[in-house]
Amino acid sequence: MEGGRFRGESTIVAPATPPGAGAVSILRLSGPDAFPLARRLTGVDPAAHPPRTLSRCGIRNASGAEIDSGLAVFFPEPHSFTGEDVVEIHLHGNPILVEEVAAAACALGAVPAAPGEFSRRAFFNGKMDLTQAEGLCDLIAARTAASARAALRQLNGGIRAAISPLRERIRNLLVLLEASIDFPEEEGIAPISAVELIERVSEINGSLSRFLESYERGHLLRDGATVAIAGVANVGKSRLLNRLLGEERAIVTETPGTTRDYLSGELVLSGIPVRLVDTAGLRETEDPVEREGVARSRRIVAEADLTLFLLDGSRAAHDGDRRAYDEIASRPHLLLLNKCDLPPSENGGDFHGEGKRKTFPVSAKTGEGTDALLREMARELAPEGGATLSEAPMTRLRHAAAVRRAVEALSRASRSAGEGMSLEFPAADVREAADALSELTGEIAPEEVLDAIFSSFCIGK
Amino acid sequence: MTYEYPTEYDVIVVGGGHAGCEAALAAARMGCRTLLLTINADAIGLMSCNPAIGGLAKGHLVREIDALGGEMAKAIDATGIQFRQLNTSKGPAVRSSRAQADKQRYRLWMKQALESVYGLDVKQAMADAVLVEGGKAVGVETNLKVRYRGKTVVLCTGTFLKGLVHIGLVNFPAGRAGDFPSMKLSDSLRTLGFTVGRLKTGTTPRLDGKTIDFSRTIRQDGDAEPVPFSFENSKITRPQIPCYMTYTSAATHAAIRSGLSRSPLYSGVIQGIGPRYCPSIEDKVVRFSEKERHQVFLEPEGLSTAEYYPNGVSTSLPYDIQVKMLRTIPGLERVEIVRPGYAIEYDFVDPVQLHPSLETKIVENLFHAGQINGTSGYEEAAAQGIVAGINAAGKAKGLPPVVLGRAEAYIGVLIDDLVTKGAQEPYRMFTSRAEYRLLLREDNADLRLSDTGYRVGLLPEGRYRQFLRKREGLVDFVRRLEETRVAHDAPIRRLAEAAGGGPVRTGISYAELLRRPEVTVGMLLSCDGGLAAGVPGVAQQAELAIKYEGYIRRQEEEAKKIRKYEEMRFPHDFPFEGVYGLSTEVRDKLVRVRPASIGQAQRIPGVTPAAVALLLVALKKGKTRSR
Ligand SMILES: Cc1cc2nc3c(=O)[nH]c(=O)nc-3n(C[C@H](O)[C@H](O)[C@H](O)COP(=O)(O)OP(=O)(O)OC[C@H]3O[C@@H](n4cnc5c(N)ncnc54)[C@H](O)[C@@H]3O)c2cc1C
Ligand SMILES: Nc1nc2c(ncn2[C@@H]2O[C@H](COP(=O)(O)OP(=O)(O)OP(=O)(O)O)[C@@H](O)[C@H]2O)c(=O)[nH]1
Ligand SMILES: [Mg+2]
Repeated sequence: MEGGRFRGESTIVAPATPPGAGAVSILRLSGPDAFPLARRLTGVDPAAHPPRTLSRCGIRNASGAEIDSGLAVFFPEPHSFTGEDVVEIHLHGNPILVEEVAAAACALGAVPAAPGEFSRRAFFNGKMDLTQAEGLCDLIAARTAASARAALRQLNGGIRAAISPLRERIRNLLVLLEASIDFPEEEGIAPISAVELIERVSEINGSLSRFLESYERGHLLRDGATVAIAGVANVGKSRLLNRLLGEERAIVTETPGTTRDYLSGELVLSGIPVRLVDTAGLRETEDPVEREGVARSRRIVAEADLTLFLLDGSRAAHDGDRRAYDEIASRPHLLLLNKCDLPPSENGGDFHGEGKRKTFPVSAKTGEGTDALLREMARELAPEGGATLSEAPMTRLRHAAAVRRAVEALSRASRSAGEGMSLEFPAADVREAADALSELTGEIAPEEVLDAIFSSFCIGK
Repeated sequence: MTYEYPTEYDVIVVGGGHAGCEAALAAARMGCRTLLLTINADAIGLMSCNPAIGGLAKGHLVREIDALGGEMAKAIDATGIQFRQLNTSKGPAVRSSRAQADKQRYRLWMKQALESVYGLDVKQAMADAVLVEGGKAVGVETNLKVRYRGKTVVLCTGTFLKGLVHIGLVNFPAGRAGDFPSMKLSDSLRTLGFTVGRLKTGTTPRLDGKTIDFSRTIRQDGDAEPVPFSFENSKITRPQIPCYMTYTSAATHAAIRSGLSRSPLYSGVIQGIGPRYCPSIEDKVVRFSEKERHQVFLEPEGLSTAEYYPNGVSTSLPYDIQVKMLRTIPGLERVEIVRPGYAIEYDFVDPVQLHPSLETKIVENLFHAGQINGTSGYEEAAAQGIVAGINAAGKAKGLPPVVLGRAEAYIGVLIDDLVTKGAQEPYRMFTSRAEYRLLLREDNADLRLSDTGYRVGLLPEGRYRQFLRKREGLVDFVRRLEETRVAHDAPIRRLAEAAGGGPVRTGISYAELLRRPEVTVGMLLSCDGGLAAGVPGVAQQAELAIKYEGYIRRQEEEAKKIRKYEEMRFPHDFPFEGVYGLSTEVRDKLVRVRPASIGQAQRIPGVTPAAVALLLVALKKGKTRSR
């Protein structure tokens, strides 16, 4: 916001550390009265104390009684997280103490921070753009190290850094088009030719599409992936789940129909948090409990990013296997031949949904083949290519939708120019593409987007 | 001693230029007792600069003025001496009309139009001050100390406020060359609290035609079939005359450079900011020194004069340099100058101090239109004039203001830009200023604005009925194109296939056929005699609607989304000063502009989406509080 000072009318307060007992808890204050308030609470004079360094202090409650001895640190505006005056008070990690000091701050005029309020103030104060605010949110929620790295790159402005030069190129193209349209040939401005337009568009679209590929992995890093294990009863689905998770999660018996409801566990595949789901064997049955289980399995499979379809390799496949396979054949899946520790009598040759599929012999019992399987799962989930790890991948549907809109608009521009339509039409498309990218970084952000983003923050961030 | 003029007017218009004429005509035609004051009654509707109306994006404005019931299109149709369609190769939305005018006849037509309206008094007088009582304008006082009382006042003073003409290092006060300046009015405005700034523009010398050797130039004729501007005219019958084209040369540029030390622009005498898109010849030579020559169009100033306007050599160089420079141009070797070119500096009033109705925010019942708002060009002036006239008349009658949207008219774009962004340099209309350009075409100006023109009582009954017939004809024609199927032996099949593209399936509709890039409505009409559209212009319009349907629909949807934000309106007294959380810069911008709606706030440069979100919160809070 051009270095402008954000003026909160209130001073907000909230714990910055999670609730519960710990060695240290931090209480954060932000707003115009943060410094005077902190002075009353800690006795330290912010003006007499160097900024951004800790100082020891006694901490008092509302009635002025000293209740803890801790540390305070002052961040004068605009060099703070929110861009306002910010104070952090470090207490001993007892929730009761934190509660008491927060209450004291409120008694002195502070108000409890609403969800996302600190970040909201940072955003409004131009401390971060929209994708950065999202990155912060994701960094805090990240479940794997790789997810955290991706979120951090976003927080550091990686998406904007990737998008800005592209938007600039689109804008330059628009400028060329507008100049061609708005100035008569007589003034010596040679109108941009269809060929040149198409060429430029295809260059920009190439870069945009490459960036778009990063969404495949990026969104999995943020949202995680679901991998379902499916197949008819007794092929060893539950045992495979246990094997892949490395723990005895599911009940395994010789009785078909053992698993009635789905079960899941977490694992990490090349940085992506994966929820692995064991399902009830897909078969027609009269048993109402099992029927419900089968219906649930189908839903899981329908939503999964990847399905591991199991055949029992130690017996010849039957119609039930084929019917079950038909249900998942059009979804992304891997074909597994389980029980490869036993003499084989099925090679999965009839089972190739779309094109020839590789089969993976595994043994849930011995663990044979599971390393290769895990590698293949990682490849399936996050194909090579897209943004390299040094760039920030796109992590949200909103990002991909905006970039897709830009790509589509640009393709339309190219098509229209190719059909010999006059420049004003491709110009409309190019303008739309520029707008789409501006929306991505929040330069044009409908208020709904903002609301959705900020309501997903939790207190104190 | 002051004289209180006995008549009390509804609307007083100051200035008989292009803005003032439209404003006065609109107010009077809407039934208001109207007074037009102007410094020189012989110079009403006079073209200060180029003897031409229209041009890129300006032609659009003229047709919009016409659709609302204004005069400009009719005046140029009646007095044009060469009509041309510009940008025909660039597409239907940016195609514009332009015509050379017989300058004197144009002015007389305008004067007569004013004189023929009952209830409209034209008086030669110089306004020196706006009379204000209780924060409201109540009239004007002239240099003869006459006080005219009016319910509303519209200022359309053009380049006249403290006008200062420069020719070389010589300068003198003038409203334009040959006219008195208005030296006091802008001080009156400043005292009232308006921000007054200074801009500059310039014009070319005028040449004596009998001293031009046209054989050394290239003749340029107008269109064989001149297309009228006004929707009520179907033909231009008057004879058309040619223009001529020539070029500057290295010798011209050398002559210009030899005079730069005595140029008021380059010696720093001129303070006002000039238009970047309309540079003087000395500017072009200095800034684009690599260009070997520049085009010059020799345009006739009329049928009953030998004066020519050399378009392209606007200059404020000293007189001797003007002579020297011109005589290096092929065809002008022996040219005599009738009037020298000059630059003019003048006062303008910051247009962000206006509501979108063109009423000022500081003084109620006072309106500003035309070059006083920082624009340049006759069409831009007239466009504001008609809106100010409508709204001043409406105010006098107690009606709500008429504000045209950005997706509705170039006039809407023009006024919104002015009141939202101000004028850092003279503002000219361009099609790229309109984000919904594909919707705002010259051909559909009547579809966009006739209803409004009729509703406010400006577009006459007969014209409106003619329009309704056309609109019905269009709907009917489009329906027929959609319903008529291509028979297997239809001649159009062969014609369409011969034009390129794939084979034509039997049974597809004419509309589908028309979507093919190479098929035109003309082909359909030539093959199917029964199709004839009846009303002129309808077939072409239907063709556009069908051919570009996808594009048009997308822009309409986009416009609808944006409209939502235009409807989120701030109350008049909304305290922008106190909005929670705004940075100082953004707050200052909002306080300066005081936007009428969230939509307008979004368009203020430097107002971030974050700030807009805060405004939304504040707006909602205000609502719940007042409930
Ligand atoms: C030298 C010059 C060069 C120009 N160059 C260009 C150009 O290159 N391109 C372009 O598009 N446009 C150009 N123009 C601008 C164009 O002429 C104006 O934009 C247009 O005429 C403005 O219309 P208007 O109605 O606002 O004012 P004007 O046409 O200037 O009319 C103003 C009217 O107000 C009257 N008036 C002024 N003050 C008072 C008063 N106090 N009391 C009573 N009456 C008053 C005057 O007598 C006059 O009738 C140029 C103008 C000049 C003078
Ligand atoms: N030899 C061998 N036996 C296996 C292997 N995997 C599973 N089994 C056995 O096959 C039987 C069924 O295993 P489960 O994992 O319960 O099979 P399931 O597919 O989950 O069966 P339902 O839950 O009934 O649908 C058990 O007796 C397992 O021990 C394997 O890889 N090798
Ligand atoms: Mg099981």
